[in-house]
Amino acid sequence: MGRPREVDALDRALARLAATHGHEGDALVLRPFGRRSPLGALLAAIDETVLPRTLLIRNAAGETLSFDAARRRLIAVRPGPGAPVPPSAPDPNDASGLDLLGQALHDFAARAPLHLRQKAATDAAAAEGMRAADLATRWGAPMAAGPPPDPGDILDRLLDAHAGVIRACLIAADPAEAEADGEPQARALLDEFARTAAACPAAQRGGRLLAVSRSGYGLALLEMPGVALGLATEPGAADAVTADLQRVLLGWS
Amino acid sequence: MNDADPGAAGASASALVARLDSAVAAARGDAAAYFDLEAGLVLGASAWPGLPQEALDALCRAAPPLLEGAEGGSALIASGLEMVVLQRLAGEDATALCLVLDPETPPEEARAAAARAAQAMAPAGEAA
Repeated sequence: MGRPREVDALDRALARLAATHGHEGDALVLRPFGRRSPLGALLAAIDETVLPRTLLIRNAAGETLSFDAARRRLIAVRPGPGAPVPPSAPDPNDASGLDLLGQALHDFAARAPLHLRQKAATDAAAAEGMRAADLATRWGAPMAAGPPPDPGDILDRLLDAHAGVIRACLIAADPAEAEADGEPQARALLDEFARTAAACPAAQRGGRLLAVSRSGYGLALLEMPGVALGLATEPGAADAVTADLQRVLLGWS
Repeated sequence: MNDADPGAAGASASALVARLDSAVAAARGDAAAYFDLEAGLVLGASAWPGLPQEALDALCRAAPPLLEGAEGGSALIASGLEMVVLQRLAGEDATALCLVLDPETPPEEARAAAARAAQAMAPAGEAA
């Protein structure tokens, strides 16, 4: 199974944090989670982050989560301003406390958007905390990404949602060998576009989406691991169809 | 004796970075790069390049076939990490702007952002 896209998002945020020219202040917004439970996604992000830093994630309710990226450990979840709930830290010897913390973290992750920043330099990385992988196992929150949607189902949904504006479509394991169905001109353009895409540098591990307008048609090609889905549309519908494919790429539908 | 003026070259590179930074600001994007499509060269990038050099090189190689015959002179390449718009520049047949945006940017907004960036890239006096 591929690497969770939420982890990619965290990587991207961390890369920005490490950059000299970050331009969003000292906090970065993490994308909403995709085809996963918020808790599993958050634990996966912690588990796969390797950086010699302690980081804070703050959610929309003002609650904060701190984790030791170097040791892939959750250190604590702290309530927002004025909340009556005390801070929670994972204690491997306190089973009921861990259950409560699991619920607290689940609620935390659901309160997007999440903002990530480094802890103050004077706050040295703590040695306490628990490994994210152990917590995921205990809480039954799988960190692996769920299965990608079936391309046929995606196509059916798009045909329903954009009835009358899709002029050609293709589903193929190899875009270079793809043969579209539909109106002749749209089909030819889509086949050519798929071959062009196949000649481009390899897609990133999570897949990619290419879109362009040519000869009066909107052309979009979604490449996921092992399969490509292409569509030729009326020009006025191109952005809407591309946006739907983008949602699939991001794991939102 | 080499006639090249290192100071002038440095100033030119700085000017290009400044233009690209202006493009990024106009687009409210993450980063931008400037491609020579004929030579297959990345001519420059904004102060925060947004992508590793090898990724920019790969996009530069991919740009000519994607932009061939593209209406509006633009093509979108999205991944889970970023939305990239390749945008031809008015009056410059062999170059393109590569604009890096947040991966959640809707396609329509991405194209509009690229148009703003391309306008901001235009040398003084050429902007519409």
